[in-house]
Amino acid sequence: MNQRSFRERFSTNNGALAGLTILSLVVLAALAAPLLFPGDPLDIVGRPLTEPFEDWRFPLGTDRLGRDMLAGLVHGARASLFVGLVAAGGAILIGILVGAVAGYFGGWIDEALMRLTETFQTVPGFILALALVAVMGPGVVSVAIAIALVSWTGPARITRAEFLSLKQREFVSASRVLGQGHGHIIFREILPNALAPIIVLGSVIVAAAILIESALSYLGLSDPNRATWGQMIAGGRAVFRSAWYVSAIPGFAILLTVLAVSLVGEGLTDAANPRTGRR
Amino acid sequence: MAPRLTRRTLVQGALGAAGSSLVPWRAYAQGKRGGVLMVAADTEPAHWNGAILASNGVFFVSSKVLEPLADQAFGGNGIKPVLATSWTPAADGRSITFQLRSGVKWHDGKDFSSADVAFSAMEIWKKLQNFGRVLFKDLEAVETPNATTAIFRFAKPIPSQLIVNALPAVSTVVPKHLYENTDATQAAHPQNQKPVGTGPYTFAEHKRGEFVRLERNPSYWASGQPLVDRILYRRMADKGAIAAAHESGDILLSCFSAVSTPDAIRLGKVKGLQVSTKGYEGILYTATIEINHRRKELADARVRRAIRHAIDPKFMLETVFNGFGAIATGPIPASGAPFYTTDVPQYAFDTARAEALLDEAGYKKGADGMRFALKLLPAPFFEQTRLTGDYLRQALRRIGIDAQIEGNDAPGHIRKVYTEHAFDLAVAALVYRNDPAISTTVLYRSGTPAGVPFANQYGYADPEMDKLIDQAASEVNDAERTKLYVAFQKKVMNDLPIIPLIDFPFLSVVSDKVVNHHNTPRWPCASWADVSLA
Repeated sequence: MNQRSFRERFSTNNGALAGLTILSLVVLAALAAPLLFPGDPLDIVGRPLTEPFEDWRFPLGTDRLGRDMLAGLVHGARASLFVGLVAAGGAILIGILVGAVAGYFGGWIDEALMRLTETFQTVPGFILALALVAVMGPGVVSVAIAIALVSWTGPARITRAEFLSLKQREFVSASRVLGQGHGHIIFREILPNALAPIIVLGSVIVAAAILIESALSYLGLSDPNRATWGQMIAGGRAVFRSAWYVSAIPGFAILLTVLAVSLVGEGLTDAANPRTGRR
Repeated sequence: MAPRLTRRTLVQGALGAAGSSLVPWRAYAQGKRGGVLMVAADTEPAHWNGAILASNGVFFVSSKVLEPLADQAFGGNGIKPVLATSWTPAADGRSITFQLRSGVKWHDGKDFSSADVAFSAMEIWKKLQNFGRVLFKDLEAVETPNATTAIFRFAKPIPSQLIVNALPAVSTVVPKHLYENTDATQAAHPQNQKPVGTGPYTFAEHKRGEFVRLERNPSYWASGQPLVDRILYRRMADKGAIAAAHESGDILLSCFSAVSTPDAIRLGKVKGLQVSTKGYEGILYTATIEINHRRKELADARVRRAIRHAIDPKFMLETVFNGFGAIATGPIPASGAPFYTTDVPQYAFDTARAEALLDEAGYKKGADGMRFALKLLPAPFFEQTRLTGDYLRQALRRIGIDAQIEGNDAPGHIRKVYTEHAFDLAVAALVYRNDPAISTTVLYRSGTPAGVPFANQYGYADPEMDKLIDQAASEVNDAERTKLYVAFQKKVMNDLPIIPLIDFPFLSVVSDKVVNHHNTPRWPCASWADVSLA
């Protein structure tokens, strides 16, 4: 019954539905990229700086070297979504481990892990990501790792808070009495009940990760051999005044995608919490 | 037959097409005193010692502080005296006598003398400098009979024309009393970070990543100069921001194509701004693919020729260079009279031929359509080299060479290519400076120690090439010398140890407020002693 009403609450939220639609389109485009635009999206295929809608072979025009903007956009979605999902997944995984252990065991372990978390929280995330990528070398994987390493603190704190309250509950005492091990209690008993707010936070991290990835690749700290949205914006920066669309189109793609992810995340929050949902 | 396409006709054509505001510079006899010249600096070298690293990025700032014996000039024989007032070569070609300017003082108050010239020549230019190491390798001694005479003595006859042609780039004089018994090669050397010179401006302050401030030298040797109180180089990494700063009047000058070419064409139409390629005649660049011969694939001349066949320089000229430039036919640009020749092997844009050459060399396509992978390092200094890298990657992939771009910052790029040799291909913009023996043969002569930038760090060693270069460097007869350089150009284009692609001038954007600018063939590297603000 709870499951059904959750879906109902989500599906009556117009913003969330719009977000889901846009996000699905972006995911679909990313998945279909090799079919839609086989070959290298960085290939020079047409006259440089063809304007959008000028030549129907390149509906969104071409960049300074004559590379198809639409192909770059669709392939760039792969990089953005890959980084967004992997980074968020990694951040949640680290966060759950740290938060669960800290919240469940308490005591000095909790103290130590929370001080570590605070240390990470005090360092500006983007600067740390920048430094990490500079050390690891530019690339999609290193960008994903760097973003995961700077965004796990939120999930860690939420997980810890959930664990602190849940571990007092009867069902946890019951499994303890039954002689279950710590691992079983943490991952099979408490975690499933703590997951909802963590998943909601995950969507926020995806949105942030896409933005950080774009910023890093704008600064040239991504794999120069792959099409990414940030890189496309950077490439168009030199001709911004004469050919604004080279920067504006990938910029708009980032805006739409991040907006969609945020809308879906908000929808999830509202749906998971009926009281705020009825606002 | 089509009319011959030279750089000049092409640039004039492009400039003509770009708009009526790209007109010749206005020249004034004498400007008024005072004011701050705000300049955009889009790169920031590791140090400011132009005597060690003769590169335009260093000269852009250091040439206002440290001066050479002579500089380039329009008209006459193309050379005007600076710290030297005259020079007389001996008939046997084994010595040249310089008369030095008297009454010149270093910025710290000490007298400039022939001892400084002797020290700079023997300890800095000959031992450390990228061009000087080769040019002055036979320099035996510099005699200083008095404070204003320096006699350069060579072990072998050396063409005096070459030495004189070389002076603007290689003869930056540094103070002996501040360098003696120190390690001048350290970028952190106090004199390399805050040089003391004889120039019209003193080096006041450098905040890395922010600005360089030069102040007027009130006791400059040329009376009435300099006219400007202060030069402020603002470090601006973003081309778009530089273009915007031009429009808002925040900066008055940017050189070396600090704005993108499309933006420059647009700025040329803005009232109060001028855009041109004048002032770069003596420092034309050639976009060049540098090749690491330590890679066994690239040691094969057939592979290098295949790479050249895979490239369409016409497309590059139109897109990457927006028509500002000319297709390079060889290692010497068309303006390099009397040495330049078109009678060299040429390579058409022909991907089928390129693939055939690679097959012949034994590098067949794998299952993924690729033959082998190469690491490609485009020089980050210029938009043109970065974009050439992007183009090159795609051109090479088309013939089955999987080129992977690696981006570095400027010091990292220089270290990786010229010291560590951690590259397969690099894209460079290499300068032609007046005479092949100054800037060009160093790229082909073997035996340069690792760490000397813009020289043969390519692992290329060909005894025949070395012999040709050495002969030409000591040939005193002009006609014979030219003949040797024609042979040199033929051999370069046959072997393609590195691949010249496009010869291009840079663009300057300058406000109408700036007076007396771009009046020498290498003006961004000149002393700017006569510049004033209206």
